[in-house]
Amino acid sequence: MDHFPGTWGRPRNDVYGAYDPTYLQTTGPKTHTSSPAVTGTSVIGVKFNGGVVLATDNLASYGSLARFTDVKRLRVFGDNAVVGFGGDVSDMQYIDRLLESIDIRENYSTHGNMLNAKNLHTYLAKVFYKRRSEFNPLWNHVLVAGFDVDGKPFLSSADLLGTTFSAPHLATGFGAHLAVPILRRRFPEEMPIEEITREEAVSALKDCLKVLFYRDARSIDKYSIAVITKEGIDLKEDEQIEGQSWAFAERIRGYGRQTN
Amino acid sequence: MTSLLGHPAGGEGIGYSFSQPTAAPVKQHGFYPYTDNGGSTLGITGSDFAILAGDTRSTSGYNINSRMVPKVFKIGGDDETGEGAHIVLSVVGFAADGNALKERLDAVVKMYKYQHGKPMSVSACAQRLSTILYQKRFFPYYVTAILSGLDEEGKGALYSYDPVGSYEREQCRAAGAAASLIMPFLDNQVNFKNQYIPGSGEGHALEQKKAEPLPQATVEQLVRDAFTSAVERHIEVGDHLQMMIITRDGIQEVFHPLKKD
Amino acid sequence: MFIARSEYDRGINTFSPEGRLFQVEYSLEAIKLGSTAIGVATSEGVILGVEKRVTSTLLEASSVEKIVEIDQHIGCAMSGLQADARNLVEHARVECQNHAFNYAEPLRVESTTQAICDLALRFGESGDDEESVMSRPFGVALLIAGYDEDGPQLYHAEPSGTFYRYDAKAIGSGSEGAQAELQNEYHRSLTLSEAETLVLKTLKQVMEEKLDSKNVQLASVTKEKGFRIYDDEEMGRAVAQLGGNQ
Repeated sequence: MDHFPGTWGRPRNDVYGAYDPTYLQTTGPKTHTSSPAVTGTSVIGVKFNGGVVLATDNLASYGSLARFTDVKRLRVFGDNAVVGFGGDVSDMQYIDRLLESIDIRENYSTHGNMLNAKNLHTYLAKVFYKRRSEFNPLWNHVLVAGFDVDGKPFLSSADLLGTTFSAPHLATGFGAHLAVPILRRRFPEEMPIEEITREEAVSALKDCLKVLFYRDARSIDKYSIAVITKEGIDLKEDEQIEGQSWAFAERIRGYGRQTN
Repeated sequence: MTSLLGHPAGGEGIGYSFSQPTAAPVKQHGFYPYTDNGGSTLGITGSDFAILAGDTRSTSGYNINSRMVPKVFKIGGDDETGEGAHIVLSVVGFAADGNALKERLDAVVKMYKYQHGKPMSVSACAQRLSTILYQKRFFPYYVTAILSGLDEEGKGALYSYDPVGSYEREQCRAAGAAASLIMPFLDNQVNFKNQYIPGSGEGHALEQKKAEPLPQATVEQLVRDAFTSAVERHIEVGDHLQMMIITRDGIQEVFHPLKKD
Repeated sequence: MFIARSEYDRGINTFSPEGRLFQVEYSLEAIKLGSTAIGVATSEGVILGVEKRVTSTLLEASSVEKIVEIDQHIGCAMSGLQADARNLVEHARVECQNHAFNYAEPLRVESTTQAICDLALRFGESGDDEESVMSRPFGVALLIAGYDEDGPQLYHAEPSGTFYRYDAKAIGSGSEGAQAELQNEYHRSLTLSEAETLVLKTLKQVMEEKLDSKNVQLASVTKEKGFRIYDDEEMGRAVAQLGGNQ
């Protein structure tokens, strides 16, 4: 105990080392997020005859730590649009609040929320592009699923740089490497989406999630899946990857369910 | 006293860093606002037409984002389909910047028609595109743009740009990932570079073959050949060839398949 | 109009119950006090003419500038508060230069006129993020003459922000008599030199002073030479020709 009450109860330098003052930066240029903190991994989506399916797992990682294991990364907008978020979770929550306020505002208008998934995607892409142009990015890669003005199934991607693209099946992050080849094999590009049934699409995504769980270290086996059709959105947020096979790991110490 | 965390104890005594000035070193941003989405574009003009073409592949590194992301756009059309337009723009490089640029130019051309009561000429649009690009000289649109249409005499017009707005009217230009593969082919096949007239001189001192505007069918075939060849040697080029053919009758848009590997 | 005068001529953007903006109407009155300016458009080009009102023998006549250049292909004549005209002309010059910079082509005459009228209407209280504007309407009218892809054109722009295209138009104190004269004399097959004479003849009729080559000024806009203000020699020739014709 010393004679300076202002220092009582603070970590002592002789015990904990000098405090790193860079965390209290008061000078230098204004800085923004230069890397994401708590992140979600892949988002995957497929169009089928009459709708779109979108899926993510329920994990939010803090670096390599599986920090939050029950995070809903599929967010519903209006009557038939869903956004699947990859990347920074706090930025996802910010965008979700943004979309919620738009939804509320639209619902006060005469016709209710008339914005479709295509409108939503255009808007999100512009938000991302504006923020990247201010060097203050929203650190996400999202898939937007729903319908366009003509009522055709819509699936499109937007990322932190404002880059956009659309395809019959899409995946972000690790999914771009692992899920897309599976989806491209199952639903070849020349195959019209009218020939893909809802069941085939859902089962394909479940298989992709399983492969991702096997090989993506930042994933878990609890997932959310949303099926968007004209009838509405069928969103399940507490699913479990079924039929896992860890037989190959039976005799490997520390693998799979084995604890020692 | 023993240090719990292995820091040297004693000597400095109890000190607290909060009172110390917090002069942090200047930190670099970890965020890079650009990416390269690959692909290639190509434009060739003739005496009464212009062709602007591009592949439709979008890439991120070794990934193919999508096989159908057009790079060639009608500018100043009356609706979403671009109906009524007479100017075409191609952008290759960073696709998000390309889209932003396209939308800005499109708005400018539409506003021009409202404000001045006449459609914008290709030469006026070319100058405007240059100033738009240069206005972002210190945070450029990371794209190589090509603008095309018919000039006031009805001849094919083509203007090529660098990312900060330098521009020039040309007969033909290739841009993007496979520009270095396609451009020499164009030099030879459009401007007849390194083509000499047999028997026009002594030994190697032969007369250069004169470049002249090519017929539309020849140009279309040149564009297709240029892309099928580029696809063979460049991994970022492929999937589909998008072609905009500008004549006095309007703009015709056609797609041809390219290899998807 | 002064019978209906009331509190409604205080706020410059306040309508009277009869639906009038008094300050704008008063600004039109200011123009009727100004010197006469005339424009005549022909298929060869446009002629502008003004009376200079040299009020003193000690006044240097060349310092009275009532016809000015806006761009190579556009010029204008003014009547009313000359200082106000400078604002409008400056604005038009900037618009022309900006257009040439951005589009590598001259700004059209109608667009130039529109740009002037846009500024003419920006009076009254400015908004929070608006740059400061004039507190009152401009007290000047312009005759804008120019040549573009639609040929030679003459426009008349008022402080009210409205503009019309004319074959021939007179503004200022002598405008009523002059306009009547133009109405009688104008025809579509007028040549440029006939237009010169018509402008001078009309000015002569409405001017209080005796017309000479010092107290009037002419300018022309043609395809070949663009906008040109006549020098002393050309003025002398034009005035002499007028004398010869009569």
